[in-house]
Amino acid sequence: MSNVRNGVVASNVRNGVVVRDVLAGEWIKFATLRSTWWTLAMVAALPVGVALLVAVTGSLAPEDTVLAGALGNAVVGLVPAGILGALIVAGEYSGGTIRLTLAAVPVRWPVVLAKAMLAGALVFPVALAAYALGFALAAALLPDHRPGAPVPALLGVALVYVFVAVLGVAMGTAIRSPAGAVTAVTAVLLAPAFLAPLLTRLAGRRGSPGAADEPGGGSRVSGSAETDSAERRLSGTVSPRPTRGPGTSPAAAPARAPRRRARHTRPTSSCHRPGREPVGTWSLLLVASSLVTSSRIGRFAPAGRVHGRRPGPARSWKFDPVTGGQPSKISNSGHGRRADGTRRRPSARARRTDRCGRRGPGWARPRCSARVHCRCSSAPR
Amino acid sequence: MSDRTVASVIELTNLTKVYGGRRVVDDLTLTVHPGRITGFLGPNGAGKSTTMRMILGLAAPTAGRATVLGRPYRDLPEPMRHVGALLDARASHPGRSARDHLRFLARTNGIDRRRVDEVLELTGLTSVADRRTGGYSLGMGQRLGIATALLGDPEVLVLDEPVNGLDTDGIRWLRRLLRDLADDGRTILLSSHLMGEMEQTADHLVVIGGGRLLADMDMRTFLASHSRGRTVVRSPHLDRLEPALRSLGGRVDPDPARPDTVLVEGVSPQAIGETAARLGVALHELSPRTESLEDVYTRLTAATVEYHSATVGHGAKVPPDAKVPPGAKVPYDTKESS
Repeated sequence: MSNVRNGVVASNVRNGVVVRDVLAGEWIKFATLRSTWWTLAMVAALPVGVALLVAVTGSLAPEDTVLAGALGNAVVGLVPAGILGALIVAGEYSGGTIRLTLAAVPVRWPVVLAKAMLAGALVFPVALAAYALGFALAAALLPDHRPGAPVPALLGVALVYVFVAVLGVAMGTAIRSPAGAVTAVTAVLLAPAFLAPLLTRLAGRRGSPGAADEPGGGSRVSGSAETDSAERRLSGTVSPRPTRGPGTSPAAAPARAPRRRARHTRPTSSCHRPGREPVGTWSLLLVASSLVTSSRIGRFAPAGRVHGRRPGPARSWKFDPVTGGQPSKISNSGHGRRADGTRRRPSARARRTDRCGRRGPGWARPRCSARVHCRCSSAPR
Repeated sequence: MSDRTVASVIELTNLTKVYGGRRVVDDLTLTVHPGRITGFLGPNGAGKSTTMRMILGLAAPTAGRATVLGRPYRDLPEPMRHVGALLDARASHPGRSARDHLRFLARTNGIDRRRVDEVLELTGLTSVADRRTGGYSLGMGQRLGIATALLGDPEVLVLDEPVNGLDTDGIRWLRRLLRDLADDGRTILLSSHLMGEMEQTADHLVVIGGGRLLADMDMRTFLASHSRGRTVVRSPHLDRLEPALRSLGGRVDPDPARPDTVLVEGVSPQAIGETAARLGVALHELSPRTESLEDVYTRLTAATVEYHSATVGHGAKVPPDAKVPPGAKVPYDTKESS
C-alpha cells in the first residue's frame, strides 16, 4: 500500500491505458455535440472562402503567387481553431461535465493532454485540406499567376492551426468560462495583427531591430521570396490603406502596401518579417497561459466554491424551528456565555490552531493549504 | 471488486478543508461501512458536498485524508468501476444525448458499451436516451445522474441529494434499489434534505454541522436517544386540564398550528387520560407522538449553529437543558456495532 500511487498510475501510463481511453472519451465528447462540429466547419470553410474571395476579386498583384492569395488573412481562419480548443475545455466547465470527467479520470494531466491532442489532431488535417482546396481553387481561377511552392507553406499553416488550437485549450483551461475563453483567444489572435504595424513603425524609427530576425531564415516556413507576402498575409498585416511610398506602381493592389513599405525601408527582402511577430507573441502567451493552466489544473472548485469568503460571525438561524417561523431572540452567545450565564467553551474558531500549532487570528498565521505547506519551526502537532 | 472484507470502505481522517479562511470541513474523522445505507445529514453549508467532493478527489483536502477502499480516490485505477457518484443532476451537457453522455464516461473507464444500455434500462431512460439532455426535466436529469453513478457497477456509491426532483414512483424505486445494493454488501453514502425520505431509507446516520461531526450512529439509536416522547392532547377544556398536568410534572406546550391542542411532555398518555377522567374533561384527541427524524435533527443542528432561544412558543419558559440535546456540546462518537 505504500507505493500505491506510483504503482497504479505509473503502470497505467506505461501501458498507455489512461491516455488512450481518455482520448477516446474526449473524441466521443467532441463527436456527440453539434456546436463543436460547427466550429470545425468554420475552420474548414474560412480558408476556402478567403482564397475564393481573393481569386474572384482578383486582388492579387501580378508578381504575387497564387499561394500568397490562398494563404491571405489566415489569422481570420485561425480564430475558429482557437475557439474550438477553448470550447473543448470551457464547454465542460459551463455544463458541469468536468466534474464527471475528472471523477472518471482523477489524475488530471491526461485530461488536459488528451484535449490538446484532440484539438490539434482535428484542426491539422482540416486546415491542411481546406488550404489545399483553397489553393487549388485559386490556382484554377488565376491561371496568369505563378502558383508558388505549396508543400512546406501549407504544412506550416496547418501547424500554426495546431498551435492555435492548443493555445485555445490552454486558454479554456485557464479561464474556464466559454465566453471568457473565446474572447481571450480571439483577442490574442487579432491583437498582434492590429498592433504589429504600429510596433513595426515604432521599431523602424528607432533603428533596425529587425536585425535580430536576420539569420532566422531556416526557421521560417519557407525561405523563398515568394512566400514572403504569404507570410505577411498570414500575419494579418495586410493594410487596406493606399500606399504612399515612392515606388508605388499604379497596378499595385491595396493589399500590397505592407510589402511596399517593407521594401522601401529595408531593401533586402528577408530583412523584416511581420509574420514572425505574431508567432513570437503567441509563443509568449502560450508559455504564460500554460503556466496559469498548470496552476489551475490542480485546483478544482467550480460551482459552490466559497473562495474569498471571510470568516463571518457565528451563524444564527433567523427562524425558530420549533415555533415554525417566528423570529426569536438570539442570546449574547458570542460573549463566552451560554444563555443561562455559564461560561461557554471557546468557539471552534478561537480554539483552532494551524498544523504548526500556532494559534490566533487568520491574518497572523501563515496560510496553509494542500499546495502551500506551512513551514513549522517546531514539529507539527 | 472481490475484496468485500474491507471493514471501512470510505475513511476520512482529520479531514479539513479551508476556503478563504473559512473552515468548511473541520477535522472530520469518519468511517462508512459496507452493507448499509449511511445517511449524511447537515444544514446548508455544513460541508456535506465539500466532503463528498474530497472523497471523490474533486477538491484537495487542506489537511487530513480521505480514502476509498483503502486508498485515495485519485489512486484508484478506473475509479468508476469502484465508486459511483452523483454530485449534481445537471452535470450533462445540454446538447448531448443521455446515451452519448454515458458512452464517453464508459469509454474513459473501459466499461463495456452494453452496460450503457443496461443502466438506461435500469433508470427508465431508454425511451429518451437519444434525446438531448437539455430538454430533460429535473427528474429525468436526476435519473441520468443515477445512471451515471451506477455505470461502472461500483461497490461504493456516493449520492448527493439523489431524490431531488424524482416523483413518488422514482423515490420508491430509488429506495428499493439502494436497499438491494446495500443488501448486496455495497457501501452507500447518501445525503438528502428530505428527512422523511432519509428516515425511511438510511440505516445509519452521520450528522455534521459547521463542518464538524455531530453524530455517527445507528438510525434507531439516534432517534431513541434524542427524541422526546410527547403526547398530543386536544380538548375544549384545556384551561382545567393544563394545571393538573403541570402538577404531575409535565411540560405543556401549546401546539402553534391548532387551537385547543397542547403537546405534553413528561406525562404518559395513560396518566393524561386518567387525569382527564378524574376532572371530567372531555378529550377530543389523545395520541402519543414519537418524534420524527426531522424534529430530532432540527433540534440537534439548531443547537450547533450557536442558536439559543430564550423563549419558545407563546412565551412558555424553557428549562435550559431542554433546548440543547445532551450530546450537542461535544461531538458524538458513539459508534454502534451493528
